[in-house]
Amino acid sequence: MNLRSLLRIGLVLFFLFPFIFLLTQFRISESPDIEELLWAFRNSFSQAFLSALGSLVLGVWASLALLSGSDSGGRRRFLKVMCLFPNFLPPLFILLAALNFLNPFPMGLTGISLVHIVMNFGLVAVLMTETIEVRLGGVTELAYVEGAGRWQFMTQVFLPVLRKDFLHIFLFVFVICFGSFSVPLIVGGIHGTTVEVLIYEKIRMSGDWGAAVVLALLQSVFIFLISFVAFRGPVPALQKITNLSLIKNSSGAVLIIAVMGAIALSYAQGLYRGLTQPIAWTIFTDDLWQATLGTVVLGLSVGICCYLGLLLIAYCSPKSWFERFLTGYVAPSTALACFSVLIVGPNEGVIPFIKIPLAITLLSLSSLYRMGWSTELQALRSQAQISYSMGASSWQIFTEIIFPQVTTRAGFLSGLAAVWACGDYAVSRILAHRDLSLGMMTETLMSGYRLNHAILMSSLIVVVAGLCFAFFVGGSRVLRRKFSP
Amino acid sequence: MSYVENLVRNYGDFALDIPQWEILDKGVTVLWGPSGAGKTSVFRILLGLEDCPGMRWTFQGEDLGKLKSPDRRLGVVFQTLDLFPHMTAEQNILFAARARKIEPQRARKHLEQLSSDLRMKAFLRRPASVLSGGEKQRVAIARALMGEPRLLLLDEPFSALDQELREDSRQLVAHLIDERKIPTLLVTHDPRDVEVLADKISIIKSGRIVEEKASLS
Repeated sequence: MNLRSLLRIGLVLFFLFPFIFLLTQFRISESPDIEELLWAFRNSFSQAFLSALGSLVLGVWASLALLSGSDSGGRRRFLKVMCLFPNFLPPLFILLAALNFLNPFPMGLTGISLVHIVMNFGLVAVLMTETIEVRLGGVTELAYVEGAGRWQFMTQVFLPVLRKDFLHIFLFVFVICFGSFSVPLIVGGIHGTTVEVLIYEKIRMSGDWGAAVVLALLQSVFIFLISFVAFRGPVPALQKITNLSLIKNSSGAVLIIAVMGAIALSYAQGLYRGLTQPIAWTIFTDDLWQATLGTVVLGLSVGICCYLGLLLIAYCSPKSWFERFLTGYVAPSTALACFSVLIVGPNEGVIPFIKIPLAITLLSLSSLYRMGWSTELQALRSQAQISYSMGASSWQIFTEIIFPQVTTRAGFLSGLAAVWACGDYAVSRILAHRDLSLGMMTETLMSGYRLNHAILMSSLIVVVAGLCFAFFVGGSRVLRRKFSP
Repeated sequence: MSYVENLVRNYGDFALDIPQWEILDKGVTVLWGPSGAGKTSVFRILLGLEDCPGMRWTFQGEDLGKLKSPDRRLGVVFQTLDLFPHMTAEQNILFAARARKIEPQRARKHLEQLSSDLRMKAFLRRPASVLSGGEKQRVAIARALMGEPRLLLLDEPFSALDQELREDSRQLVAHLIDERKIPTLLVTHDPRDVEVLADKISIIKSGRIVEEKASLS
């Protein structure tokens, strides 16, 4: 077995580690509290259902605005960036803005669903736009030329043809929301405890590891089954630009701008209030500087781990079973991933600074792979094949052909992971006993209803995250220049 | 002569069934057929990019079918040309020399010869991404020849060029193959390629070689 095969197996084992851990630990020593379990499942299911439904409805509406921007590239790109902005930000910022915007905030299932909808409807809009263009482009043009009415087309073609796509996208968002941890932890309240939060409470509050394992197993099986149904493979690439005048509608742009504008304004208002409060500067303690340093360490280490992980995937590709595994892989829930890392070895001293980056990398790498890394590698496949048939070794192919062409993208994606890590509090809360980072300190302030202070504190995260992002984007460009032939 | 035997593979909705096929070890063998006939599948199997268990390919006494793709020592030009866009034309060509571990001095000499034969001197230092279609094609052919292959495989190499350039390019490739005496397998659906280049024509339809004949000229 050569080095590449070993690395490939190593990567697969890394991805499967939480599930292997779960299987080795699974023992029913006592029957779980069925009533509590059903209650948590019902909460998870309800919030995920409402979130997915809301995201789908608003997302489809917003997608009609993205379609109408197809004639003028700048406008469309702007709306697309606005749509994806909440996915690039750590959830902490959306939560702060939402809590500041709605006062009193509807804690519980409504609150969780609201935040999830704000976070996901833009992503749905982008996915729907691609789907509509590919599946309905030609038909829409034809119907338009032949004089079909909008209502007629929408009811007789648009909805029936895209029915399956709606279901797939609904299930896709459902799975994301069902496994969400950071949002229910903050806005779930006592009546909105989801399975993820219950697992966390079992481990951290009551130390009931047996019940936590049973819950994690049930949740993983459920998510796996839904993901299996939801998986539809990539949407084929758009063959030609089509005129979608029959269905495009600019009103969705108002929705996108209103929601994203409300987030930005609400955050800015909270920041202003935080800065102008006389006791604002009390947050600047010694702990704060330590937490800032901790955030830098976490951001950089997650970024480096993800950068190396992405390059490792590139080095191990192409291999059809490996690529199929990565495409079909369902990331473990936050609680399960952290749980498996937590139980291995000690957790004191600097150990959390090793375990937190590992857990965040484990949770982020598969998302990064789907966020353009697989497409990037796919585009280089024929170059790799031709180099291989010329007799080039896999190392030569990687260093001379693949690396110089993908390092910039790897830098961008790992910069993004670094931003997520800087704003993380959920993974850190499970793996660390005290506030190690600005994200954790912000969450502590937020939980103590000191919202303006929390927003002020989070502005430091923006600075640190921005520096980490710049480090990876800039660093990858330097490496490209250095290693270019 | 070079013999391919038992090139049989089932793709589910399509099957290749070539019990025996002869590829010239001098001159150009053209595999000609309509779209969907299986030309590209045959091409990829011969290159070793797709498996075909049981295939034997005897070339000058050696069974290439048992070797991995890099060990078959073939030169290849795909329809898409696939130049490395981050490298210059020269770096693209020299990559093949490094891949085959050809001494740098020898590679340099070979490069000079190729750049003169293929009229590439004017654009050798230019990035591959800015070359014109015709220039890219010449670089792709030079890169395929740089590794000193035992056989050159060309998959629709002229299809991306416009009509005028295509004719010029055909003549250039024909001259080069003739001068270097390198056996070539050309996969094409263009009858004009057959007319200009073929020494032997094998016609493929629905995954089978249905006819083999000598050159028209």
